[in-house]
Amino acid sequence: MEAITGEIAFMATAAGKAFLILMDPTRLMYLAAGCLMGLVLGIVPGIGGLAGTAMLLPFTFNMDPYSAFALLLGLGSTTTTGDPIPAVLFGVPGGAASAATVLDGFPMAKKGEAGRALSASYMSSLMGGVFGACLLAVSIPILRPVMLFLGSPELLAFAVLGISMVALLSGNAPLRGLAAGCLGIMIAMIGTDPQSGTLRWTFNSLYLWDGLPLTPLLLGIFALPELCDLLITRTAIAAGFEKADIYKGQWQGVKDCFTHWWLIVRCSWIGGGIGSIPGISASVVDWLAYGHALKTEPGAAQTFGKGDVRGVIASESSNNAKEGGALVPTIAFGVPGSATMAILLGAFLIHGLVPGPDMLHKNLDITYSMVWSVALANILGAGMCYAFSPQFARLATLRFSLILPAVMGIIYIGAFEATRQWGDLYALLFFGLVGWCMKQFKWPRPPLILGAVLGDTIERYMFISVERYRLSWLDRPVVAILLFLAIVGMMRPMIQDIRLHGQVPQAAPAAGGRREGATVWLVAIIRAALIATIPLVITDYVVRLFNYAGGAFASTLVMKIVFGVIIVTPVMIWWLRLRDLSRDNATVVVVAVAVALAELVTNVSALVTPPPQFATLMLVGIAIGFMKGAIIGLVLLVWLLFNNATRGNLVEQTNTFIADSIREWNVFTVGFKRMVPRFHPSQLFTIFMLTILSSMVIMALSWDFSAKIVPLVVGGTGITVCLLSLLNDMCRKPTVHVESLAESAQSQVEQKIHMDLASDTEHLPIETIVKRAARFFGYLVAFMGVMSVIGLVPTVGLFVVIFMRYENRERWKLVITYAIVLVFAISFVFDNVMSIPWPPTLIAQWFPALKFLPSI
Amino acid sequence: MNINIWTFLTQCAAMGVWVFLVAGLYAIVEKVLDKHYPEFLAVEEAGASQAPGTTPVAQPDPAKQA
Repeated sequence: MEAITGEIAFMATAAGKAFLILMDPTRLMYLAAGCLMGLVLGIVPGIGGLAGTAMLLPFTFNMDPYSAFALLLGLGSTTTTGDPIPAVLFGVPGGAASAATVLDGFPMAKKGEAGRALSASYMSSLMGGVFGACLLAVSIPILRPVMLFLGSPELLAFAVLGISMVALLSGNAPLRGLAAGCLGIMIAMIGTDPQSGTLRWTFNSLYLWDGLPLTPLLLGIFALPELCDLLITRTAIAAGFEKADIYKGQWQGVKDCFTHWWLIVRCSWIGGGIGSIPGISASVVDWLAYGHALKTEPGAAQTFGKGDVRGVIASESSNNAKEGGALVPTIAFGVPGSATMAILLGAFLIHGLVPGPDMLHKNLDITYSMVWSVALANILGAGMCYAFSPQFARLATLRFSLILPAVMGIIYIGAFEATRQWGDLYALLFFGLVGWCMKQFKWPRPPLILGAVLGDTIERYMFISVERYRLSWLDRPVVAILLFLAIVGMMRPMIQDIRLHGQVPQAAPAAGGRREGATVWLVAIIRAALIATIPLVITDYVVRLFNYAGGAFASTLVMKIVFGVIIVTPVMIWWLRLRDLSRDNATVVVVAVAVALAELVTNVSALVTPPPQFATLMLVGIAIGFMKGAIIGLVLLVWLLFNNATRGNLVEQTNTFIADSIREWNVFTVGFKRMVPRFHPSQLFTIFMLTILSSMVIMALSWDFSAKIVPLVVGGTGITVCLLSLLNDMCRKPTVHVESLAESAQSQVEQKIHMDLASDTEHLPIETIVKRAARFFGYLVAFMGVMSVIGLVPTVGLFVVIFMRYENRERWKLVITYAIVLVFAISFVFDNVMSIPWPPTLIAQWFPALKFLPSI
Repeated sequence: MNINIWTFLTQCAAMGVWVFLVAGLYAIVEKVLDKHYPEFLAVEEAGASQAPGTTPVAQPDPAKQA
């Protein structure tokens, strides 16, 4: 009891200290700035919180961790507060997270209730966000004791599981995600190997000795592709809303939120819970919450989609709550819950913080400052939205020709901040191209970043695990379970694909007639045994725990029988009722007797369940459990056969089970035979990735053992997965066979979940896309070229003029004003205020007198 | 933060002149090109890049997931 009180006092102190630290005016200012930027980025078309966080990261290098996370979390938490504005007013979601808000928000605006809809969405965002922060705060004390039991092998397994989860859930092709993740890990290993000093993939360039910095990689992968697509789609929203509308009905919106507080709690819980599962992104959370509201709210089926405020509340509260949820695995296990969290994880490493146990013990105040940051940011963000709705709404109508030049300048400055060498900019350009191709060819990008961020951790933990435990670390139960899950996840898409090929009507032969006999009895026993196994194993462990802890109240056999009856009987009865095999009360007694019998028969020293220290011993335990289960199954079978009513049902069910299994097996074998390779140009990118991975592995072959072990393992996995993916793509049938409406709806939902990273340029002819993309990257190269001659700030001026006039023929008045304002703003903020160093220029060598100008 | 107001003002003036210079040059180039090669600088219509039947703005930007 005393320990618990002490623990609570310790955490309250840390939370209080964190609050005081965050209340410092400078830090509050950073938090407010982050909020403002988050809102703006959420509203402005084309750039989202992800690209925004990537852009801000380099500017936090000089801050203390509290300020840095206040800024980054301020931005991350509020993008979803701002994005209902375009969703409600224009029917266009500002970000993927508010796609469901459109369904009810836009009809409300059409009815003249824009103010009420917006107000409800801000308020529910606020409540959801604060709920998310509370969830985080509550998780910390729960996770603290757990963290003590995690060693290096477990953390390694968590990192691997994290990457495979993100890969599996974030892309339409999970195998591609895994390949991208492997490439990311390999990218993280570029540079000098910490153990042996081997130079890995440095290509004789000094720039790569310290490893590839994260910032150009992040900006290239996430920010440049968005800009490129902005130029390709040339998005524009026509302005057209009444200012009066926005303020009308605000009070009603607030009241709605308090009336439906229970809905907000439920949807926030969905948001926070789903957010904490690595890989499930924001674009699903709002749909899940909306679906939940649709199912549970009274009368929702009639009013939802026609302007019901509850629809807005559901989706908005969930997408703000997810931020707090996503922070939980990021902080505790170093496994980011989302792509934004992967960037935040990068920020952890940059600021010298190691996610994992340290964050919950040594750096607890930093963790709590994050909780406060998320909560305050949501309150501030909602406040700003209430105050400046009409101004924010105007932001949504910005044209690409106004957004692109400013953002491009900031990206260049940010990328250069990484190591202040030209290599940063080359890396930016290279990864920009790779990122854009990935987006176009539907390769998920988050796993790549995750791999790059977690690569060092994975290598370090793997090295420690191998050094400390040799190969026995693979045998630790938690490790084995996590790795097993990761492997199952990797195999699943392949199996699904084979099944898809086999799922043609004639593939399934008609099931044979009703059979009775030894096979049926045997299958029935095995089924029952499978159900009983896990509860039996748990029983054994519970008894072991009692013996170990000195709480034994009887002989081991008696305890086994008592606990067996308590644990196994309910499970078996539940199963028997679920399958409609028996509803007889006498069955309860039969099951209990069967359990006792099973424990009695197996009470020999050879069949004692071994302690769960190693995964292999656990397997032995499970096998013993299965044996006991078979005895229970046998007794049950005799009992059920004895009674005529249950006998028929049992035979019927077992027959169906056998027929299903045979059909499944046929689908599988037919599908396997039907996979015929077919080539498509989009596979060229897969071949490109394969080439990169292979050449990296070949280069690694000649290194020291300690330097090449992890690259070879990861690279080998990457190549295998890439080949499988290529095979998959080649064999995939061009048209998916859809049988019913329900199936087509199911596939829609899966598309929604999986395609969240696809480009929105699909409606354009390929020629246009390629031409405009080439122009975009042409601009980038020209920008860099001109920058090396005349410096960044003058280049921005030049670029604004040419870009705005050439791309969209903006009015001269606007062009010149914009160019001058942007040049002044950049030189003031980055040169005068932040005093960042600029890349050296040629013109300064020729005319040293010009050096007084910023960036020359 | 270390700002010398006079340096700052000179910098501003120089950059302002630079922007006007660039704008003037581009205006001349544009005029000449428009006269002799009218298609060369023609602006691509935003609407033309949309698929028929879709809203003015395409799908929500997926990478904007925060």
